[in-house]
Amino acid sequence: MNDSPYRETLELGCKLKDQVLEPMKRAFVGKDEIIDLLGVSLVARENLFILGPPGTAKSALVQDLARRIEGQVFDYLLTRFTEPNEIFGPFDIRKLREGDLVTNTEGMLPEATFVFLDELLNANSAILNSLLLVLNERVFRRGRETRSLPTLMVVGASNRLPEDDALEALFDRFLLRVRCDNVSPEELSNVLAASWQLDFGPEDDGATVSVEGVRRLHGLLRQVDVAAVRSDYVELIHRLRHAGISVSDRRAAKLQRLMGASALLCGRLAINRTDMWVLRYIWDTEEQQDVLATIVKDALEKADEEEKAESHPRARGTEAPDPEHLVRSGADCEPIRQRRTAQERTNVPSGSAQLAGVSMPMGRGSAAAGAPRIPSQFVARADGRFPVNEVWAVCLSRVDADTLARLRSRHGLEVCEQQDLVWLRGRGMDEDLDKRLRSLPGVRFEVLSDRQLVPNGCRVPRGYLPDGSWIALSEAVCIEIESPALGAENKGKVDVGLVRGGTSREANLLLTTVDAWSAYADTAPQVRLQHLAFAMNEARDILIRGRPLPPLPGTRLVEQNGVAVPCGWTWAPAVDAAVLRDLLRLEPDDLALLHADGTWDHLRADDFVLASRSAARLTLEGAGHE
Amino acid sequence: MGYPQFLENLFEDGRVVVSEIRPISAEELREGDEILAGFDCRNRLELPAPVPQFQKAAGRWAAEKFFLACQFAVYRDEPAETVDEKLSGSLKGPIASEDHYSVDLVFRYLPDLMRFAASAAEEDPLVGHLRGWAQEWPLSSVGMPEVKDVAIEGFATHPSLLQLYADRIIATGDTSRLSDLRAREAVQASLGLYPDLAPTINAALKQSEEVEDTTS
Repeated sequence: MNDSPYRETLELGCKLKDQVLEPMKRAFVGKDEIIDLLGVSLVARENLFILGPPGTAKSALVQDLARRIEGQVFDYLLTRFTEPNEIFGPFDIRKLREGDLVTNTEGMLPEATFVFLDELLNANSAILNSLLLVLNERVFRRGRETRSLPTLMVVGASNRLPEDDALEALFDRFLLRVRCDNVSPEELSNVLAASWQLDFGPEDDGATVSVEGVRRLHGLLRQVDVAAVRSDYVELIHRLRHAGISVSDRRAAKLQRLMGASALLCGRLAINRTDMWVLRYIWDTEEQQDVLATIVKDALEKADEEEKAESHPRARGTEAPDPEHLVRSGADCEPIRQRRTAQERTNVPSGSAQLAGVSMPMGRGSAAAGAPRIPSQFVARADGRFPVNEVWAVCLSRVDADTLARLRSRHGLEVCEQQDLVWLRGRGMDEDLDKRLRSLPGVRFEVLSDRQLVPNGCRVPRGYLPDGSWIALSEAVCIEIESPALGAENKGKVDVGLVRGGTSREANLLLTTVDAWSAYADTAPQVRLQHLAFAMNEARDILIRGRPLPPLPGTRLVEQNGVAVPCGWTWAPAVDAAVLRDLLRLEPDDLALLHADGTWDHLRADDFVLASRSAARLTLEGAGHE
Repeated sequence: MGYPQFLENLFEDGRVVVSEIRPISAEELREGDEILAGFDCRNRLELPAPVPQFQKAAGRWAAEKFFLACQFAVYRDEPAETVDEKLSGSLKGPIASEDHYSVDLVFRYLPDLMRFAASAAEEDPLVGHLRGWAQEWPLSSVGMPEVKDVAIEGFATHPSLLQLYADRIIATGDTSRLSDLRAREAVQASLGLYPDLAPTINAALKQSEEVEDTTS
């Protein structure tokens, strides 16, 4: 199929997946499912509905996708009173004077390639009809004015599902639906790190797939062959209908486009049974999600091994993570963590579980000694910037061998041990591989046909590639779960206590009484309350968190990375707050209050409520005060 | 959707659907009064103490007028004379702080309705009436830039309502309301030592101080 006249366009599908969607997954922790659905919706030119609370990166995902392919975004928050001018643009006054009713659409929805409509279900009757036309036909109509839109995809978001008929019609235009929730507590620190990179990190080198490329994929979608799975697809639709899930003929027909998009993203021009995974996301209610997942899973299991080998990552099940991706992302974030030394383990409470790490037992594997195996399949850039067949090698010190783990998911790479050195070799180059090789702490060589090594930037060969035992990198690097037991003698715990001192910082916590707090909140200005949260303990002490703190009597504390001490105090030994968090076994959003008498209080994020007059009054009532 | 359902939806989720224009029955008015009283109980928890008493007559007057105004905003084929006839007239009797509070229970949505009506037709008679109400009930019309030189005597002596007024000025950044000395002092007291909590308001306060220094 790759030799077909469509080969070049077909490669765009793979590029979109590997060079746009995969980097997005690394940037947005825990959003793989949504990013995959954005990908198929983009290629199928369909609309995606995202159900989820505010602050879960819905808008940022669309903005980022648009940025990566240099598309133009129209991002708008709909309110009950949003009027057509706000979305489609005002009437052009100059032309109106001439008697023409023309809309000035500059910077508005009709000129955007990506449309993100937040709080979609706030859409009112004034904009509903125009929106339906945009969603259905990619056409903008106002009065006598009708024009085709360049819109590639529309993403709608809301934190609820529709309840009335008018909005049902709007919701129906979104073929795929997906939930977007806050990430699990375990992933939160990764999100924070990734969002830091997102906001302040360096820009990427530039688009590898452009808007024009996506349009070529749209054109290619018509060539995708659906015949091989038609009977299975019809059977699946019947099963869904029998299970009470409404799939109209129109939707069933349109879903084929999404299956075709899944195939294109995998570099295929024929839909196979694994592409039916997209049907997991056609639910109307949250209750239908499990039913769909079960029925679609049954259908996917009928796929043979050949089909599974070429399947979309999302077709590999919802429960089990994609093993390739797991390794890839794990290696990117934390390349091969060494086991802790006995000394480093001293402060870890006995029996605590360690995180899974990756270790790399070099030389282990099943490759037979003898003639080196040179990989035969490589990815090449379409523009030929990188050599396709050139053999290259990188030489690293054995102590840096761990860094090779980040390349484990690349096919066709081999490693060889030679005394204190480790060699990596492969054939061909692409942009991604080039970047990854440059990040390795080793020397890079071009390998001539007689195995002579020419260092990069030099012309004269300097030695030969070793003729030892080469094994595949993926076999040489394996994942091991570290033992939860201590691997060394426990030297005993170090006591942590408070001592006078510490840096001068503004307090952000105040421990006071419920009476003082409620008297303050009773008459306090809203602007002073809205930046605060508070919690109450069984002794009816109130802990207020935020800035500026209210002018109330009590103990002021200063917080550092979730560990708080009274002002003028610090902890000793002076370890990092993160170490204390580990020691106290705090969850990511937990707060520890260390007291001078050696005791400490443990507060969870949900112990706090946002400060308001009503919250303070109800707390006072609950505390039994009159 | 009838009058009681309208009020319930307005208070519960701020999204309303209005029925065709017809007289409100006595039963509907009674149900509406109950909904208003229930909303007052919930709303009191959010207000700075001491909260004024709810006045049923004032609350009902505002709710009826607002319901009608929403109907006129949607049913645009009603003649201008009908709009004028139904929306004219103010609350009868002397207006006390408690009346400002009671009217505000519903009229707090006036800025939203004004935006909706004005976006449909700027010169609509309905818009004129909404503007009049905004002028007459300044507590409810904070954040409406077209409303100038309002008189706040009706509630300025009540500490709770004056604080509510200051809260709204800060929240909306409506600097036009700072021309009144009482409002300005209440806003300054709210920000206290932390003027950075409302930079726009703070800039306007500084500007008015400079003007005062120059004139004195």
